[in-house]
Amino acid sequence: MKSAKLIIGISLILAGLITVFWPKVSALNKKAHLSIQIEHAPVLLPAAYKVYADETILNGKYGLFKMLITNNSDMKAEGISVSYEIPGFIPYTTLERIPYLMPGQSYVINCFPAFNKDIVNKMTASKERVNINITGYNIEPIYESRSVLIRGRNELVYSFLSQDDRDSPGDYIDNAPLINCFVTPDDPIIKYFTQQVQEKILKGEAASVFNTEQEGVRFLQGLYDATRLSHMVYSGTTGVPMRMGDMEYLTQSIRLPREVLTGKTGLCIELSTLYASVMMAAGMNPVIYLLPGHAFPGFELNGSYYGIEATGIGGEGLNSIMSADQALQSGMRQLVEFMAMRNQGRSDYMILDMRELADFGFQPIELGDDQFLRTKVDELAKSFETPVVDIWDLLSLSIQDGTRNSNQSQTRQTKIEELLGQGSRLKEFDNFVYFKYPIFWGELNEDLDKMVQQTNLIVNKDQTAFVQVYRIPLITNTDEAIHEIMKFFNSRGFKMQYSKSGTSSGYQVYKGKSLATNTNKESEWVAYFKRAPLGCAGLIVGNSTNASPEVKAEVDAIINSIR
Amino acid sequence: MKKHILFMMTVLIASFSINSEAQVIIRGLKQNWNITLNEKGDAEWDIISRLDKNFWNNYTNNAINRANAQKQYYQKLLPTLFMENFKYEEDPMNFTHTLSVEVPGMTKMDVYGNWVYDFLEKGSDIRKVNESEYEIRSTIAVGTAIVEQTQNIQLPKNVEFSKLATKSDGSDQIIYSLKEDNGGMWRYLSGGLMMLAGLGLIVFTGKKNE
Repeated sequence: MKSAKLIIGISLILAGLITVFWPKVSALNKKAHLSIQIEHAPVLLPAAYKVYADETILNGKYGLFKMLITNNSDMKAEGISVSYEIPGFIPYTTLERIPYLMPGQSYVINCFPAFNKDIVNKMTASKERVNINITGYNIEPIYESRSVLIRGRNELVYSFLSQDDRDSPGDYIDNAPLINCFVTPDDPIIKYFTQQVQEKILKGEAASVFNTEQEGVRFLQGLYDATRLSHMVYSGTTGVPMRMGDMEYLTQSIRLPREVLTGKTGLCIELSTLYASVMMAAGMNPVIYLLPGHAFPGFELNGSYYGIEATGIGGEGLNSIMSADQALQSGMRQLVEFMAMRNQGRSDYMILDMRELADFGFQPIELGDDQFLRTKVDELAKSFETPVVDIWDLLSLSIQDGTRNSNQSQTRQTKIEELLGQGSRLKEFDNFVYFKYPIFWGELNEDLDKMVQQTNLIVNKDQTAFVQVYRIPLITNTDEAIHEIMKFFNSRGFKMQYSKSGTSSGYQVYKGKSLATNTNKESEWVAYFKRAPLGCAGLIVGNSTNASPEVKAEVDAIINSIR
Repeated sequence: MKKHILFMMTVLIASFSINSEAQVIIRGLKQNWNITLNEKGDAEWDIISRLDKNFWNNYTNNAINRANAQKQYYQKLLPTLFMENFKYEEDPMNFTHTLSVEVPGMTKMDVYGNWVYDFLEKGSDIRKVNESEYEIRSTIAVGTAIVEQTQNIQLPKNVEFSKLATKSDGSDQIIYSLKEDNGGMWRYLSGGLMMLAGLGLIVFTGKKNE
């Protein structure tokens, strides 16, 4: 009886323990079942490797994947560990340890991969695997493997949004802030180039912090001159659509600023990132204006925006090269239109503020020093130093003396040839007629009252000297051609006098003077005309009679370069 | 605070089209963002935006699919979340539109078995209304319009305790625990009673023998 009561007592205690710990007891031989749902980035951009590691950027927009784990069983899952790897790039890394997952509970995991900076050495695209492992105390291990395309370091995909999700023009360039990853002010090569520009173009005067808009504009123009003097050219192209599955992305290869410098060619976006890098290295607040099919650089100071047409340096197939003034004017004109479109709410007109984007986490790629590239920058910087002023001074002196005897004329000719031979401070014009003119002269593109047959008007800075280029179809006689031009000027209030003055290099030469009757200003000029296919071609080179001797020397040099 | 304002403003822009013609300050625009958490840690959002007639006309004059635009806007705004079962309704009589969406896994469980709700933005002025309800009120200018925004977080009904906490990165969270369900309570009670009865029987039998 006694032992029976003892057995009942022990049984009651055991039953009580089992009741209390029933969930654990019943789970001894059972496993919880988890389901997963994964959404992953379709493509990874090595240039943005720092962005991927930062979960705060745009609320975590640039993750590798997000995963929803749901416990679909009626028992608690415990000790869950989620890890992933990208073979060759990221070793197995634990993403999250989840202590418990209750029945029916869901858990969201986001992956922000920390790539090694060596990923920027990846120049070509490749398909890689993302392997995900989920383990736990009482779950069956889950293994998932997904494919991801890792592009080359120079590539930018403008939007990851699918066609269905693109409901505004700005959605097509949704990744535009990633352009900041290509802006590299800390690149030792860019810093070195900036130093060269400051020393040799701006003569060290802009080395201080920029606090006036005039200084900023001067720097912008100095930078333009640096690209122009180093014979950098604009190579126009647009992004190439890339199809991935049922989605189409606009992708573009963007060379790094150091590559643009040393390769001496750039797209509009590449020139913009180069400008932004240099301006940022110099302490300015650079911006890039992004609009459909184009980009141009500028800066912001005290709430005012400035822009320059960096592609004004010209390129293959593009005849005209803008002066720094013209490039600035062109940039500012575009900026007015840009702002108007932006104010209308056009989301594809974007201002990318480089410092702001960097603050948000859009950090550029890290680049090391390179002695070879420094040497290339040195070569570029040599073109900034052409002693053009001295030669022009010499030329003007020889003319000022008024001694145009044959010896001195020969000396002058030699000096002009030397100057023409250097090429770096002279620009060529080669379209039916050929001549060279100082690079600090610029083409006047304004809508002037001129003969329709006048194709180009190139002037010096203060517009006291000019070159007018003509293509006159259907008139094959040069006398008739010059007569037509004189008639035009007469009809516009000019008194014209001219006479034939022999031939030179296959041209008929005319010398003349013109008087503007309304201003009483007089110009002297020389006209060179020749037969050309289907008509005549020629140019008139001249200057105001009260132009400085330097300007007259410049005109003289142009005349000597005509071929 | 700057991040908070930016976040709230971006939420507002989804709901209010800005009338740049307006030269006077417009008041009376409201947005209520109700976040209801269930016992599994999932959330249901109801984002109710009340506009005035002028704003409503601007908003509805857009040729876009507004339901789709709202859905995409929130998906882009909060890319780390999973959002499911979007529902969008308009009430033209009251110039109101409502977006409802389910957000699974919005609350997580820590090692102590407590639930943790992380706020979507940093530096909010959060008010604890009662043990199961928290609120953020903001007044934000969108153009010339003043919008009163209320974010209401409703914890599950069976909350036992809740408190506000600040993480090391400065962001806020609510930590709360839930009462055991009745099944668990009865299990503990009956198990405990059985153990007590068994122990009592053993002790009683032992004393009787003495």
